[in-house]
Amino acid sequence: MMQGTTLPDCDIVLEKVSIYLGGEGVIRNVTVRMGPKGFHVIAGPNGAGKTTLIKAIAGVIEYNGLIEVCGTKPRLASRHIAYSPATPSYDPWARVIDVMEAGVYRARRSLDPGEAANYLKRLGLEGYLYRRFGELSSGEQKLVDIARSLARNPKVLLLDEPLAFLDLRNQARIIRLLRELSRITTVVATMHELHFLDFSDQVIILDKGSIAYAGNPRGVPLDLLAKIYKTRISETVIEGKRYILPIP
Amino acid sequence: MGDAALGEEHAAKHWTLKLALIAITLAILSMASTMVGTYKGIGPEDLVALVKGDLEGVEAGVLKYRIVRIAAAIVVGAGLSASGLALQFVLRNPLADPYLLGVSAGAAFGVLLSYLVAQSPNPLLVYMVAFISGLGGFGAVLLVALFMGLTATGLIVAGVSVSYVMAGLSMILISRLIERLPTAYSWLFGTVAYTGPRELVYTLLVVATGLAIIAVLSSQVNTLVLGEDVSKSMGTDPRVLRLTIAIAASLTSSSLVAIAGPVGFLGLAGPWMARLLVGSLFTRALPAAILTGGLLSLSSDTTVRLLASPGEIPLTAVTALYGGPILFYLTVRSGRSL
Repeated sequence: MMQGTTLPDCDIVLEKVSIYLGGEGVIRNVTVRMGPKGFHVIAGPNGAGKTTLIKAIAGVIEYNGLIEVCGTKPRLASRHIAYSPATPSYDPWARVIDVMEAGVYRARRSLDPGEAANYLKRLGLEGYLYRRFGELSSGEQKLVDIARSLARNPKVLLLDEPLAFLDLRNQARIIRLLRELSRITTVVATMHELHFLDFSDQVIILDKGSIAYAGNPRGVPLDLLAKIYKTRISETVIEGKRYILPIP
Repeated sequence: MGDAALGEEHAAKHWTLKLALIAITLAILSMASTMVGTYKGIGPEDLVALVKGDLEGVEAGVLKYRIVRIAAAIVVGAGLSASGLALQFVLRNPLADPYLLGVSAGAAFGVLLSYLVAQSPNPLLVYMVAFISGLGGFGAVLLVALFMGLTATGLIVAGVSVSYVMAGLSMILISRLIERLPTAYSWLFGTVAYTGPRELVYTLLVVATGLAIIAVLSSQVNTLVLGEDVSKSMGTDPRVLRLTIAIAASLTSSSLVAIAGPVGFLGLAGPWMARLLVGSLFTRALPAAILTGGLLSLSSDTTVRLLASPGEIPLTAVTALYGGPILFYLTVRSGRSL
């Protein structure tokens, strides 16, 4: 477990990855590289395969093809990985401290309540340490789970819909946090909030399980998005950042 | 965030203190309990004499019997409580208990069958039959659950349905041996009054093995509060974990049912007392559940001797009378959202 002072950077490599769920091809022939470091967003319509792809990178589901995280198979890199699901379905009787202590398995020896409180504080959750998970709102549960993920000190942070259920202040907080983390960590997030694409370093757009676009967020063509999402889409520039928005 | 939450914070910080207090209470009760029963002539001096090795006569016999009985009560409570806690975590079900997976129904069927075949089976035979048929019941549940891919829900549904089938068979057996029922009856309702020292030693070995397996896996079991996907992302195999824990818990509870019959409620009340006292981190709740289960069981059996002697009351009756209100009190005290 001991490592030298220079930690290896961890990238994520996918080569010809296909995933079948119940006999149906959910991910088809995906080849892409993420990291080391940086903020990578996986976007695409509902059912495009975003959750399936991030689960495969997290070592949760089986896949065909090659996935390497930190130079090895996802299951062997688990101590470097933190994975936060779209809707954390945790034991409602577990307290926040229980969830966070259980969450550092294999990543670090232990987590004392003071350290746990510090991670929670970064997400604006002061005084939550001994509250029961089941009594928190959906947004609070999301934030707790991101704090739990951070407590692993991961080299690869995998977040499924980190902005779901969050209010405007917390959405901004998470985007700032992920940008900051991406300087030392490979951050991958699935997202529906296309208006934040410009804050990422790489955008991967999935359409029916295949990659429709991968690269610089500035280069995502609007007509491609309109075609994939089957709706009118426009953009605006605020403080030098491009914001993509649906027109109802 | 109010006084209640601050109270919980205070409580959570002192979990080791709480465990120590329960352990001390258990030790004191164990010693006091040697003086409780039909024979009133046992005092503290007899305990000292027994340790020195110069106790003789009636006192020696009675004291040795009570020590076996006390040890049996503690082991039964501790083992069932720990097994119940482990199953609640791996099955992700707050109402799981060690009998959910067919152990008690299987053992009861086996023991009743042995009463039908042998006219009056000897205690060692009953012990062996109960242990093996308890595991047989679990085996049947496992087989059925295999068809459902060994999921948590699959195990629970298989456990309930197989248990009902075996309970139905047991009812038929009971109607066949109605005149010999009084002896079978005391086993069926659970008691540590007839536990022999030899059977207790066998059970201790099995329980130690079962609990050791659960303890070794405890930090993996911790991760299951986060659900299977997150647990898997940390490198565990939830299916293998669930199977291993189910086997360890069923081995433990089969050997306990073999010495005491299917004593009820310890496997559900013990874990919940522990979780409400020290929280739901498995590594912390496990030692707590061993202590709360042991204490509840011994308190119940001491009460049986205090109130019923000469004679017996089923142990399950008293564990339920104690455990129910205690659980209710802890639940109300510990908060709003249970």
